[in-house]
Amino acid sequence: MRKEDKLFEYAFGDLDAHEAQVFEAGLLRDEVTAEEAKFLQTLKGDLASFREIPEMQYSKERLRHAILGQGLKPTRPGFPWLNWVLAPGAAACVLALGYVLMNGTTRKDPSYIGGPNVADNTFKGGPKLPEQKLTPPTPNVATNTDSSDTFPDVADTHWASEKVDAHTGRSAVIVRSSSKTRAKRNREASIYVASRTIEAPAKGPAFDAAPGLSSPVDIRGMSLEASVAKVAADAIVQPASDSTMIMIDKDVDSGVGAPTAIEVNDTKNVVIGG
Amino acid sequence: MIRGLTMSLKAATTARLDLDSDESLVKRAREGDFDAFEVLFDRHRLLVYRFAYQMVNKRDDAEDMVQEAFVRAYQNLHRYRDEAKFTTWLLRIVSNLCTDQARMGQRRNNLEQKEAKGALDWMTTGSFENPIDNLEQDRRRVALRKAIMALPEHHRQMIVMRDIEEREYSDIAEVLGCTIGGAKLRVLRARRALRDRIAPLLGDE
Repeated sequence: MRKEDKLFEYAFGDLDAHEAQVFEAGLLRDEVTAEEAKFLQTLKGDLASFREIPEMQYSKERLRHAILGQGLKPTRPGFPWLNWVLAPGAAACVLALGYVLMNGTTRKDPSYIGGPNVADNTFKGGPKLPEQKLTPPTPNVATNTDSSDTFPDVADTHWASEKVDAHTGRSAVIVRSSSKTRAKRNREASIYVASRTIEAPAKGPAFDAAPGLSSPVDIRGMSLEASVAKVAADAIVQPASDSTMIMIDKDVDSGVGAPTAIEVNDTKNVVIGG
Repeated sequence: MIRGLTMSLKAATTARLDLDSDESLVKRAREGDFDAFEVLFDRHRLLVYRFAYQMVNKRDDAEDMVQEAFVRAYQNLHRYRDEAKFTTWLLRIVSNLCTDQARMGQRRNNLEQKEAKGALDWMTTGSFENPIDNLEQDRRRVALRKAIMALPEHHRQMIVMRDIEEREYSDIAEVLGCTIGGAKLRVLRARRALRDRIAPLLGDE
């Protein structure tokens, strides 16, 4: 305790007898503190003299008139238990509303991600896939490749990129769906990554050989080379109107921690997932 | 004769109520027995008046505050809980009233007090034995009253409760809704503030 605090307690009589004696002994050696103590004791005496006040003239009748004359009554307590019921309900409503609002605003439609780094950024668990080819947005390719596979909404897709490992025969297909179905899927995942087993290249590509023709053709009757060229042209030269192509850099954005990229059309810098 | 009988019956009822505790009177008043509330008023009006007067230093204002405090108490009787003393609850009400009034009418009160200040001081203080001492004491009292009224309202409440009305720290703590240590600390701060205000006033005069 500070010396000044002790001084106030001593002067205003808040110390017990023993503490007061000890403090008084100290005052004999300190004239400044002794003077201050005397001043405070005088102050206390003056304050006590204020206890004398004029007599009160307010009567019981005036109170009766003030209360009963105005018809005032003690208010009833109402239903205090109702607060305990309503308060948690209101809190639950606020939380539910907040949850709905957060879900509606934070889940954004991801931009299309293409290019060689896509699989690395999105599907870390599988083996490294060295080769990538683009497939046209037709369900025929998928059904011809492996009819037993079921790809959700492949028919709706605008764009699909497929990575095929020649040695393991394993492929990863990244599907970019149309905006309508995309919005639906975004509630569950931002992008689909599906893997499946296809026939190894040694057994021939995923095309049927038309009867009477020496070279394999696809179901549209196009030769293999023409089909591949058309697929590439359709896929690369004419991307879907709502898709944005980006080039992914090796740099990582320090703020977000995701790879940075540049939009091909207008060279804007973007951050994947940002 | 009937009137006389009615009056004596009422007097007997009031006398019986006088023996009741505050808590039982509050219970009756809650149920609409205004006589019970009047007994409570009789018991505690001086306590409320003293505090109010020390806070506003004007009898009319203090009496207005007494009325307002008891009206509020009557209307809010259901909020009174038996675990606190009724006097503590009343003091809390009047303390809140003082705070409200300090916010609204501090300037007006200061002006009125300034005008009335010199009028009655000479009648109320000092003795005739030592006029010089009386003058010195008057000067100090005037300065002290001025310093008290110039204090922030929360400091003034502490000085009034502890140093003028000499209430126990435990009572003050109950009124403030804090611990006894907290009450001591507030009183200490208020005293320090008062000392700081009065020292220049005494030096100037």
